[in-house]
Amino acid sequence: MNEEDDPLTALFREIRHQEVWPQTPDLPAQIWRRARTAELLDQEIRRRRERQRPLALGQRAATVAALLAGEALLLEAVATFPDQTLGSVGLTSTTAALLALVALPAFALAGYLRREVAAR
Amino acid sequence: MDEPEFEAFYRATADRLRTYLYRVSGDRRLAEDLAQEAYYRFLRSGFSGSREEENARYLFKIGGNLLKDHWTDEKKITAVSIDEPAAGSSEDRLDVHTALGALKPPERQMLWLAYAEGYSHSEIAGALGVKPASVRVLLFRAKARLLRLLQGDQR
Repeated sequence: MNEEDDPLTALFREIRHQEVWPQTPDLPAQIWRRARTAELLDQEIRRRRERQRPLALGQRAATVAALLAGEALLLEAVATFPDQTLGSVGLTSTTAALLALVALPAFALAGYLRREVAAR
Repeated sequence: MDEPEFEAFYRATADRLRTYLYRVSGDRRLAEDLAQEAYYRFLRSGFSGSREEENARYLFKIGGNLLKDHWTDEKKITAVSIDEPAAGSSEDRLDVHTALGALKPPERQMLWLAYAEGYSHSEIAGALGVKPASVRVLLFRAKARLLRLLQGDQR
């Protein structure tokens, strides 16, 4: 600020000092309690998430294991089909194996998305 | 910051913050509501400056952001009239009062921080989220506009 701003500074500060506001003695304590409550709530939510983390990890691992087992079963089933059978529907054994690999995760994803939509 | 420290900080800064929010928004009730929210968010942020003034600057920044959010939500960023002052006033003060009310809220914000709170250009830039180089120009324009309005009132 330069010297010619001094009257403006004095004017603004005068306004600032003359403004009168109602005093509410317990307001700071109320704000403090509100913030503290929110903080405790956040801590509790974080603690719960931490506690549930091993369970969520276990669920994820079980899902992956089930998917892998399903894939192995499907691949084995496809492998038992004679090439002529696959050829009659226009598939090579590689295409059939790839379809089998993709089919299970696709069904699992579709099921998951349906559950998510239903939950909303 | 523990509870007694917060109470002391509140008592030292509450009127300043409410006056700033009121002078910029033109709405006394809104200023009170936003001030409460600003203190709440200040506490939730966990910010703890080494000096009280540092905490106050952070609090004012939160207050300014709340005003910005309010204007965004309400699309109310226009010149608004400010209610009559609560305290006794001189003729000069009433002129400034009317002139301030005719300015755009961001202009009032900038002028208030510069002249009532004594912020430097870089501090204003930090508080309002603009480039320090822009502050010089915007502040100059806002001040020129205020002075023009004041001269108009005096005629």
